[in-house]
Amino acid sequence: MQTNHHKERLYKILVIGDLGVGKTSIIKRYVHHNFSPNYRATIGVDFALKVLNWDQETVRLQLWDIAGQERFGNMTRVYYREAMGAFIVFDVTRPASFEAVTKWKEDLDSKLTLTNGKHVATVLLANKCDQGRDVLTNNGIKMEQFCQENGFVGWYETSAKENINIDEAANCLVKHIIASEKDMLQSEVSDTITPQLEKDKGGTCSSCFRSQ
Amino acid sequence: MINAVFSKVTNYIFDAFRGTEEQHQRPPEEVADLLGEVIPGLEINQQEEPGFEVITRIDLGTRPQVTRREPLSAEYWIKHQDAEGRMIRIPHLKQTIFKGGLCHAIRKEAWKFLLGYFPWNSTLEERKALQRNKTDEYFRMKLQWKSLSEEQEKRNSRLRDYRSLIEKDVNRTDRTNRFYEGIDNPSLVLLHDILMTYCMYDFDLGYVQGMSDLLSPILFVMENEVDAFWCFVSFMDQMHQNFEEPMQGVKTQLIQLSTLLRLLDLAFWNYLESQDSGYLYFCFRWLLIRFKRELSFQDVLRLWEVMWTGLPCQNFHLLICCAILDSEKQKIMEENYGFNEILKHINELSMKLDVEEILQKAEGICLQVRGCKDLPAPVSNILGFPTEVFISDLTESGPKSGPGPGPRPQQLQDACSSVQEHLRESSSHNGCKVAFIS
Repeated sequence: MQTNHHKERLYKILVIGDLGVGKTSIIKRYVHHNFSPNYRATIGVDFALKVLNWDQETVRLQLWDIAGQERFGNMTRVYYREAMGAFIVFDVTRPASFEAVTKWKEDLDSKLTLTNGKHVATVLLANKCDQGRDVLTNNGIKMEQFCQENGFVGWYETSAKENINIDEAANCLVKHIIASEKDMLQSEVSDTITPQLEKDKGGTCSSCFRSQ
Repeated sequence: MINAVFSKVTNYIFDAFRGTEEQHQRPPEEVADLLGEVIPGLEINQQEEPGFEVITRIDLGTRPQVTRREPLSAEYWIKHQDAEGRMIRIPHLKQTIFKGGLCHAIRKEAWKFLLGYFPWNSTLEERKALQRNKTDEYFRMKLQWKSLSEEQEKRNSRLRDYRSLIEKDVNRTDRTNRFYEGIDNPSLVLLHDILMTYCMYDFDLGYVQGMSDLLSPILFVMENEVDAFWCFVSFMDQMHQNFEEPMQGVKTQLIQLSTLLRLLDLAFWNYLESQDSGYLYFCFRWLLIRFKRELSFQDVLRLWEVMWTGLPCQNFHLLICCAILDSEKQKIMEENYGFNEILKHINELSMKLDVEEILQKAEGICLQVRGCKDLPAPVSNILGFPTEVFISDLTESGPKSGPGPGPRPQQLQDACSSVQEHLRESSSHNGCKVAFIS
């Protein structure tokens, strides 16, 4: 296999979820190792880059911090394209932000599909866990089951403030992104070794590069 | 060799423009067609002879060199008041403010005129009376939300939502600025109370993220709750559409910007289009909050006061966008940036821009475009240039608009819808289509 030739990988990762759940704080903690309660509200999108060493390779994570305000929604969805993974964040102290999680997930899946037709790897973050676990305990929600039913590859209780579980959640996401990338490569390889001549289709040149 | 594996995005452009009434997936070429309906792309007349393209070249001519001047001083301002306090030589004052901005000492007074809170021809006495009335009116509205009991608020989910948004945003608005820094800073209370009172002033709009960014410099300059509120109200009159539900204000401006850019720099626009970026989404934040996040706080004050003069043309802020893009296009094209890189590059210009340089370039573009004969009507409409009228000397013609801070919302709306109509028309007709080449 040729995959070992890569010395560097770049992945675009979306960070989405309701307004004020701590998306920017999680990213700042992860990338810059600090925390402030006064980060500005994101308008549109902000970027951050995290460089990881992963199995002797360099992995660059381009984190897209997307504004949570609903009203910007149909403007900011254009930023989803070409993402390989996503965090969906909610605030454990605000039940409404958890209720919005399925909405964010459905929205993501409806706008973004990998070339093999699968959805991008998504990890659920229950942020501000230093401030209580009301949403998680009171509703009797079984998070594992919730993740399975909604297509999350995993979930973590996080605190950007106290630096809890953020590296772990990111590693989990990267692991799944790499796995899904391999999966895509395999499906592409199998495409190339079983070429089929379909005269009736008569596509143009550009359609040769389309996956379906 | 596999360099990168990308996921495919579906529907994103379509949904962004049309809402989400249709959810099925569309192939990219179909999305491009749909987008073409909203932002008409380059149309080429193929009517005459098939195989030949009739392209009308519009010669923009060279861009005039312009210079910026010194900020207007407090003494100069006071010299332009008559015995009863009426401002005199108003067009000249506006022109001076346009060319150099204001010294900080006079901002507190001059902004009230620029924003339309004070009429330019009012006497000092009239302004005192106005302020008394506006103070009463403000506190009456403030009392409306202040006096709600907890029980009442429990039954008022919209007000509750507004309040929670405001509380979240006030705590993260310009907190590194000395005026807003630290815990229990009284300026934060003012920011909060003004935004809450604005909800009572315009309950339909209420509070939308971004509005605290528009208020913060105004409160910083006014250092007074009531004056800041009414100046904010005036500014919001101009910006209202940006925050309304389907975000029509920003979308209209993106379409207008696209029209301007096609005239000014077709090659660059074509490049952006080839990278699926022809709809200029990367300018979203610029437009939504008028460059508030792109410039240092002091430079925002300068840029805004210059724009509030309403000079040198309508929608001057769109030419400011063009000026910034003009400075970045070489880098973007040379580096062959794609969709993601363009967005990232533009986003990261924040705090690296020089306000005087941008203003200088944007004014130059304005003069260049205004001097161009046979300007396409949509462009004239966007910039508010008279159509079908020969314009002679531009630099000396001075301001033509009456008092007030530029176009009012209704006028703006009319201008926008007429441009949109025009664009729709020109894209649906197969007749005479014109390509602009600069």
